[in-house]
Amino acid sequence: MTDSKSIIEVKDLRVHFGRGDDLVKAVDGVSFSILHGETLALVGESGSGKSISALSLTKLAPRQATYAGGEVMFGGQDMLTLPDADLRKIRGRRISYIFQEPMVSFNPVFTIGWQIEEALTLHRKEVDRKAEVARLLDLVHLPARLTRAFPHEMSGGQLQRCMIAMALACSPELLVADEPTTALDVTVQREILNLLKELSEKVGLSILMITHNLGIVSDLADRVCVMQKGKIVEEGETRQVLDAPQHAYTKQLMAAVPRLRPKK
Amino acid sequence: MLCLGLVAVFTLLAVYGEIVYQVHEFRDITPAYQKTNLDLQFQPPSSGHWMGTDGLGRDVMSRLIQGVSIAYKVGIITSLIAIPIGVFFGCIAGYFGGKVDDFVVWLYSTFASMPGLLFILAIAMVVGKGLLGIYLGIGLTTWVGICRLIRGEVMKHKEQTYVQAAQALGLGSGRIIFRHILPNVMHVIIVTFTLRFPAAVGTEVFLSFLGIGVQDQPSWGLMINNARMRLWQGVWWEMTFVTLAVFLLVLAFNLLGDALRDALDPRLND
Repeated sequence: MTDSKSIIEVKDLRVHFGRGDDLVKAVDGVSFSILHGETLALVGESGSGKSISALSLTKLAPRQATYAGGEVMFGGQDMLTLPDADLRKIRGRRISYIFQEPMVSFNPVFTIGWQIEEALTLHRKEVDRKAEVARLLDLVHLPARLTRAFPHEMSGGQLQRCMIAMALACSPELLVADEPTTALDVTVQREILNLLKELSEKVGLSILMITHNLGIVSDLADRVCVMQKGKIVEEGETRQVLDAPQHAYTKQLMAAVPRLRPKK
Repeated sequence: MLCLGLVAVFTLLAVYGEIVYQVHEFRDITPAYQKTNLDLQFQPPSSGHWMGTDGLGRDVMSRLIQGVSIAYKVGIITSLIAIPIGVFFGCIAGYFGGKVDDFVVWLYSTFASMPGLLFILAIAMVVGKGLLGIYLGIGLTTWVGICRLIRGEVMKHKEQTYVQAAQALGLGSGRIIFRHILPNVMHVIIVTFTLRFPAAVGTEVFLSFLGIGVQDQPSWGLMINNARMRLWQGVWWEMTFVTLAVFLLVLAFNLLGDALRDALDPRLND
């Protein structure tokens, strides 16, 4: 049933923590697929398993986690059974990540340029690195002089842009954005989201967007999966899910969205 | 600042002492600090011999300076042995956890459970008396502390997002440990070095005093050992100046270590 149009297919993924009485089913039979050039949003409260699902795509979940079942088909291979060396070739090159807190996602002792270059050295040895770093920074609307800046000298918004530049360094097929705007303030959030939107249209990038902010979802996502306690409780086109939520939990989420003009 | 100045003075003396030693070794002549002159036994400090002379008429000051060079060699070479071992094991234990960690913890606990002095004595017995035994003995016992510190630091850094980001980028474990985490724990290594250094010097002095360390070179420990016999006869200068030198060196390095920690530890900065 592999759909050639979908870039990644997750089937019945189960990720557990602990064992025996302490067993926590962080991800409990999750299935979804992402089409080429599509943006899929994974929505849910904290601890609903959305981040772990996303990390599991390349087996990046914390060491304590066990992959109890399911498969993640990407490029005709099951990521969960691939050896580590092959996984490392896919991470960063074909599937990239952006994390929640840009301030701590960079190594504090190296310059931004060094860190972006590292991604290039690793996966694309043939390019002129200096020029490529400048091009990437330009892509995320940052001046090239920032290559010599250290992470602590930059603002959260700038760092998140650098993070995106780094993630795009090897033109991946899938970008996993794990709450990319949660740690930023509202105006900067807007800029980052516009940037992601622009890039997904320009480069034809598939994005897996993890968030608990339904505003972002309605703005950016083509389809939505709503997660609760490790399971997907509702799935569908963005407009359809947001306008006519079926599941009680989705309705609850919708009701929790802050509004400028509260309904009487 | 004062401690930095003192360390600089000691370093210069050590380099000077080493050059003097090498030159005389090369020309195959007896250096001034080894020349015995029985007519000049037990001279108190004077303009000719600022720190007096010892029981064989040798100038205490020039022997003291040679002692600095020996002390530095011990400090540096033991660190060169202990730090790489400690850092390597600490890094892999902290990063990989699990069985690797269990093994490293077992290994350093075994080393730590043996009385350090006994271990050094045993090594000195095996390789023979002299500097080599001291280097190996101190080097192989002191990596434990560094290993523990590094292990803890690496465990802390491992959980940070930048490590996860590096993994997500597809970096291998070795590169993450040594290119990403190690530079972040460098301050621990530098501070430990400055604190290990005087401790190693102290141990060397102590071992030479006991007679299992340096044999024919003018080590501070040997000088103290020689001087103690004549102390009650009023020959106070050899003991006084050597002890003062040990005291100043250790104090200066400890203060430097503290100052470096204040300056380098990111946690104390903000």
